[in-house]
Amino acid sequence: MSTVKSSYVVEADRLLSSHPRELWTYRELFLLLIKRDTVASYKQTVLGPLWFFVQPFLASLVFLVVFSQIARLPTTDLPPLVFYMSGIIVWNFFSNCVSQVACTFLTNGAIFRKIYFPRLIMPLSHISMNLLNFLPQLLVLFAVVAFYDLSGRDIELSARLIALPVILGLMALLALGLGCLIAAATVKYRDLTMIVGYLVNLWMYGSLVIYPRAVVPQNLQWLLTLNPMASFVECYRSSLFGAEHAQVQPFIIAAVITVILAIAGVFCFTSAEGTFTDSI
Amino acid sequence: MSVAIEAHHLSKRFFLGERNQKAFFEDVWGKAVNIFQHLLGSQQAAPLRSSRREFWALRDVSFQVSQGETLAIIGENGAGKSTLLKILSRITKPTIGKAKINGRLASLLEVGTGFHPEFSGRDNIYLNGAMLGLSRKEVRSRFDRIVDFSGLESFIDVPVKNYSSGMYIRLAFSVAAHLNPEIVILDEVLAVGDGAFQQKCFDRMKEIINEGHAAILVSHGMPQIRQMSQLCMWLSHGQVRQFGPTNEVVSCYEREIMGHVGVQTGIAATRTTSLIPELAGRAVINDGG
Repeated sequence: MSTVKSSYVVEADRLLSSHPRELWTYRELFLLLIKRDTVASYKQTVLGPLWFFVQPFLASLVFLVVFSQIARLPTTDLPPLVFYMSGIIVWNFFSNCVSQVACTFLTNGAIFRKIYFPRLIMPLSHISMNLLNFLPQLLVLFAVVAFYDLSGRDIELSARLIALPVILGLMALLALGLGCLIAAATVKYRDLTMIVGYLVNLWMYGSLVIYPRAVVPQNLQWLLTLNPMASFVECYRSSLFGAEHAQVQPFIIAAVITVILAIAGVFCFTSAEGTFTDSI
Repeated sequence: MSVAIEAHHLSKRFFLGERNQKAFFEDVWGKAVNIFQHLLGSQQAAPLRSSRREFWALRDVSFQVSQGETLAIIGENGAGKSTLLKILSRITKPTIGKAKINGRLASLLEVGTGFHPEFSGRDNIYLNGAMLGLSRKEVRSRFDRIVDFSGLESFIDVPVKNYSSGMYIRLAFSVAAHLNPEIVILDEVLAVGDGAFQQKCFDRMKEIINEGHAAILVSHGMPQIRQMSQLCMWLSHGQVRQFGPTNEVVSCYEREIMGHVGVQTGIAATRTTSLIPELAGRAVINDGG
């Protein structure tokens, strides 16, 4: 009997789940939730997991026509398809994370109203699942790169690839922080869930997904510095192909913004979990 | 005897009414006024104007349950029973007060939440177990007993979306009944499944209570309460109306309810009477066994 471990106090001015250690005791739930979401997303679909590969391909083709052929935006030295596809898959990862985490309280209301477990498990499992979905897409990107290589165009994968996990981790942390902030706010104002998807879509156009930093006019560069995702996407592409020279200063600013948002987000989320059943 | 649950002055306030534009502007306006007053150095905050009525679902509820004791909570609908259980099981925070829970608590507020329709019965047992705080190892060691209790051996690898609602409830109850918690909270869950399974649930509940754990039981079935609990708390409009030995409290409660039924319309009266013989019947069967 683990009496000491499982005792708790519910008090007016105390967070419901105060021990970070408690998250660890629920690690099995975390794994099962990832499994649950994976199983659920392919049931009764014809293509199943193939959708993951079809979707970024189609999006890349559209971007190729619109931005490269019509708008004639430059794409560094990379072939446009590789440039767009690398951006799209990482942006999809980020935006799925943000929108799923933002809806945590609304989609899991029924469970949260009946069973206690540290609510943070849900956002964490959403983010991990998106990370798992991202990896096979990365493999497809590598396949496209290999195809270009065979047809004579030389794209070298960079040795800086080892930095990739750090960059993805920072993106995930940013998504967690923002998502948690929005989730805490949805407890009071449900409108937010409607505009989150929309805003994240708009955000993409300012995050170096479809054009490199070099095409942004000098007087607008400060906007990119304020946008952590711009720096992360740039570093990500740079770690893959070494094509762009990511700058250190914007990266550090982005990392600091990310950590602040993550702390604020997790704090707001855990304070919201004590009262959300009263208003949703 | 060690104390399992200690509650001190638990109170819970809700706001009635929707959060709409008006509530939003009142919020923003209230915050702005507060900040302004703060800047001016005024000590006391002005009461906020609000169109949302406040409502105290619980007011100053204190009690104590020791290991091995069973506390029954009775009261009309809306008396605050569910709110109290939600606070004890960490679903929501009290507005005022404090509750201390010593030991693993499992609350069977509503069994079967968290089941995923696409998952098989087997996977759902593990998922549900994990949600209720069991490790994979603990679930595995109870797995056979859970399946055996549910009587669903041949359906255990079928997705639960293909289960009938009765089968679903049986599986859910079986998981919940084998958590082996030190403290258990039961909210009207005894009425699940068909007659035979209900009896099985009822026996299992008695077993859990007899194993020396503390239990809190919420029910409208008075014979059941008399049989299973020694202590009883009568909640009325969020406050403790009476607290004491079950027989005493239940008798007072029944006297009051019967008085009410006489005055009220015929529909309410028939509903009450149709409920009572059913529960009484079950209790009698159990007495024999």
